[in-house]
Amino acid sequence: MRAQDKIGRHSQRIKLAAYSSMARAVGQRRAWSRALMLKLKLSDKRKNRYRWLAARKMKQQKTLRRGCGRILATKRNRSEKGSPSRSCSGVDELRRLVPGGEAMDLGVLLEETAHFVRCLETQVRVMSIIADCFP
Amino acid sequence: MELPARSNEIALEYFQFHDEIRRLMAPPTENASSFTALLELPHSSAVELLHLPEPFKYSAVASSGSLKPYFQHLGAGGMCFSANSAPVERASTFAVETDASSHKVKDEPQAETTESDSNPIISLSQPLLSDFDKEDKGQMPGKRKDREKKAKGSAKKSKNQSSGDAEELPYVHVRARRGEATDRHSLAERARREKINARMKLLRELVPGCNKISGTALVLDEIINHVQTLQRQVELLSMRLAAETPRMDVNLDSIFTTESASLVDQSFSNMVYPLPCSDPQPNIPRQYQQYPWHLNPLQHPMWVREELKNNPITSKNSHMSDDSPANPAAMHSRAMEKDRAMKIE
Repeated sequence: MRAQDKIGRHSQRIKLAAYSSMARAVGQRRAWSRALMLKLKLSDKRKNRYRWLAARKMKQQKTLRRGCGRILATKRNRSEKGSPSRSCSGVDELRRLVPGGEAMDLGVLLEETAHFVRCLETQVRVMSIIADCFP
Repeated sequence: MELPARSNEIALEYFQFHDEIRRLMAPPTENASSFTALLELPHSSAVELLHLPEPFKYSAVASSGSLKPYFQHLGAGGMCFSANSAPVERASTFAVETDASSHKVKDEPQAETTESDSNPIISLSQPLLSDFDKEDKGQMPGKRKDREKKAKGSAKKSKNQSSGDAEELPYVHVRARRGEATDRHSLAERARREKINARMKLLRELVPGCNKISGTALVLDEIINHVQTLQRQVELLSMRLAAETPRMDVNLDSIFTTESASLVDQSFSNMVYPLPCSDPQPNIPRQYQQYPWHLNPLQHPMWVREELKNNPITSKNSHMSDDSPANPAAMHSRAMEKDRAMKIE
């Protein structure tokens, strides 16, 4: 069980590293990369203070980390996943997926989505190549 | 060849060497360059000769007494100044003619080999090039709202025209089709809708399997599905990497604060999987930053290899993204610092 937790924590770190390096590679050129870097920086600062203490307290309890579709696990996101009834247009869903999408126009959102999708594809390709390196 | 008739002396001397001047002027380019080479005119004086108005040239040439000894090379003792200035003048007229005739930046080899000849040509053609640039910008469909707002005033004139966009102006002309409303609001909405449709078209090409689906909502769902799939793949790959790479509990601070070899050995012994290190590494911080380029990952300990996985990501992203790649060295060092900060938790 401890090895499982370790792997979980390790994979979380790798995931964060992957996203942060992806955002850094794009730099300040795109709105989504700026929003993502800001989010990671804020969460890092907050995390170091409160979360670490909270995790110590909650060592006994098993906290389930969020899986697919979310970059950072927060309570808010967990509650929203359960409700299937959303507004008809999937634009809101897209806003949640793309970092920084809430404050964008639809036109800008679509452009950022396209760039984000391409970067994600690249990221997946790179990580699969790296994973193939190991036996 | 025009000569000012004022200076009679020069005119007399000109007629003396008329034949030789004719020979010189026949292929003006070659001989003029060799002429100036013979004269060894410095470039500055050549430029002055070119840019000075014609009557003054003779006085300027006359004042430069250093030219006299060079005239003797031509086998004509006491050759006149006009003969000297004739090819120069020819060059200037030639340059002016080429300015007028051609719009190219580089023309056929000028009379003087100096760059001053090409400068007047460049200065003339540059305003032409800038005009071309302006035209290109005007032709590009600028999707900015300020331009659209400006275009509304001018679009009202082209209300009922179904064809012929005026593309010379820097405005975006919104075409008002037949039977459609022409208020400002509907124009703006139409422009916005067209913009969104163009972006949706791009997304359709990007996401596989969207071309068959008709309708915006379903395509959007498909896009969302694709993004979620990609994020899930990243998660899975990160799990796989986490499982495959052994986790090191290394106190990195102790390695980087002191560079002594003994501490390095101690930290290596703390590792979960101690590997045989080929060389002791006294210069660890430096190598830590430079290693992606010249260190073989197989030879180096695992904590180095663990960092290595992030660097191909950054470098690959910089190559594959359509924007110009950022400085990879700076990126790598930043990414590594970030990872180090995360692992110290």
